[in-house]
Amino acid sequence: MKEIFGVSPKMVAAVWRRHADVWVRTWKTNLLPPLLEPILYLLGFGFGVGAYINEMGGVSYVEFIAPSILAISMMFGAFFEATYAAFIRMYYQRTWQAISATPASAEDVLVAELFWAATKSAANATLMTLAIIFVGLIVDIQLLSWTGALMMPVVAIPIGLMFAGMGLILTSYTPSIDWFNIPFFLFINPMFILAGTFFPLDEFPEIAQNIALCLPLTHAALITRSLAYGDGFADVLPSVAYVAALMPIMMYLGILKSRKRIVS
Amino acid sequence: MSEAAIVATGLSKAFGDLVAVDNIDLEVESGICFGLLGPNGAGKTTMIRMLQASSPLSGGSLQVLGKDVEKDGREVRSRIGVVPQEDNLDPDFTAEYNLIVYSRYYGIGSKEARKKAEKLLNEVGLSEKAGEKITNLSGGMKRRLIVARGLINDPELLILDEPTTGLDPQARHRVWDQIRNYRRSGKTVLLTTHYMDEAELLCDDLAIVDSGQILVRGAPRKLIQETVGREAIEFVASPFEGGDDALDNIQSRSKDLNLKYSRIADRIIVYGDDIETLASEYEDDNRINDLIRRRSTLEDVFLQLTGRKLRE
Repeated sequence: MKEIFGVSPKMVAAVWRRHADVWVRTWKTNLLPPLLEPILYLLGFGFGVGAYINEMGGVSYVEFIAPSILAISMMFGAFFEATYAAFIRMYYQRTWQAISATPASAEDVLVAELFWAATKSAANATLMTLAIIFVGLIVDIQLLSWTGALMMPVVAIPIGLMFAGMGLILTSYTPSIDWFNIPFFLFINPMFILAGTFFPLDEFPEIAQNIALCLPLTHAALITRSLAYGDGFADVLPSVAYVAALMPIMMYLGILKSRKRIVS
Repeated sequence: MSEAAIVATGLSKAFGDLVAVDNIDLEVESGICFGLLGPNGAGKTTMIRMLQASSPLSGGSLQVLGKDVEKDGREVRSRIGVVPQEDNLDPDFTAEYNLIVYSRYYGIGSKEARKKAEKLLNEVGLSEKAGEKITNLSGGMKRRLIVARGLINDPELLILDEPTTGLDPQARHRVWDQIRNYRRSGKTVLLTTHYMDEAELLCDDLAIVDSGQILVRGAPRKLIQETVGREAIEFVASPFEGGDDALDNIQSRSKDLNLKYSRIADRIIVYGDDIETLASEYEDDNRINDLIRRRSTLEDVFLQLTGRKLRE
């Protein structure tokens, strides 16, 4: 069996397949949120609140928030999977322990967690992209460029891996499932509102802008926005670099820290 | 001569200040059923976790099936089967699918996996429950399924951590049958338990551990013979006046006669090959409610050893 840094791709694939199998078995409940959520946001904020806003950041409000909710869904998809769902597998179902008694190792299990979380991120991005295109067709506004629509599931993978790594770090520390409320309220929810998602960053005072530019979701949203407008990556290279740098660091730390919850 | 299934030399494990396994030397030969007995917290589960290479050694070395667990953990795990204490079946899958998913981690193809799952479910009497969700299975059924899962890779060594804890008598017997069947194929079993009857019934050889150390080691009957002798008599004290005095008397008499004893609550158990003389002295004593003559069991060995430890 070939290994990369002690991780067996074959075992990672086998563990990933287990997660995918669970997901497929409960697909009815899994498909609903990523399809309905964007429709709600586009209706409520885009068309509802947007009716009172002439334009935001040079485009209509509905066009402004479409890429934002895509970035948010990539974050939530991966982060939720690597925190609540991973904790359930680790603590309540003891799935990690069951698998690491087989030839699969603790590292294999954790790498599979990260890739599964990134898969959720890409799946959310795909479903949301379809839902947004669908809404766009109904109201006859092109909310996403075609190239952007095709690229959303692709960029969801590195963005998802970055958030999944962060999630695993938290999972390695959390004493109980309720504890995840703290990072969700102190980190994820503020980011959800303030990362240039519902209004452009330049509305902020400079210091707040600089703080926002440290946040991972800000860069995820800058990337999805540029893609949605059909501008490619050229204008958002710093954001691409941010994700490319943070992703491997978070993945590495997530595996390193969570390993102690399997091997001790 | 077959090579030993497990060889531990100076095996140690510490969690901070807590020493869970303390410098253990242990050799388990192939083809037998070996028991690790001890109270909760004795270090049994830690030893099992080290055997499956899920817990790094703090000291010493550990070889399983001729392989070093620290260097070849993956290979060791591919050749052993582990039945954990806890229920860690996948609740989202059916009984059959639990086995199929698990077989993937051993690189077993899906066609073969389905065949194996069918055969194993049949062996453990769960064929009818193949399509049932885990949440709809009873505790005993889950346990049998976990044992079946531990056999999916035809292991050379099967490790069971308290396989019958919390089961009703019928379910216990079914799990015992599973273990015996596997053992009959000439393979090695290592099981931990704190049920002495289970160990006496299943194990060819065993070690009693406490506080991370092996207190005594040997075949069950030999251990009983050597530690407490063949016979045991329980003197049950009357709850009325004089009962405790009588037990005190018996205790000092036993000391004089150089007999071993365990005193628990309302009774004293005296051990030895020749204890009739003592028994006859108290046969008609009305301070003694009951006098039970029986064969000594592993439980007596256990009480002797762990009891003595407490006194020290």
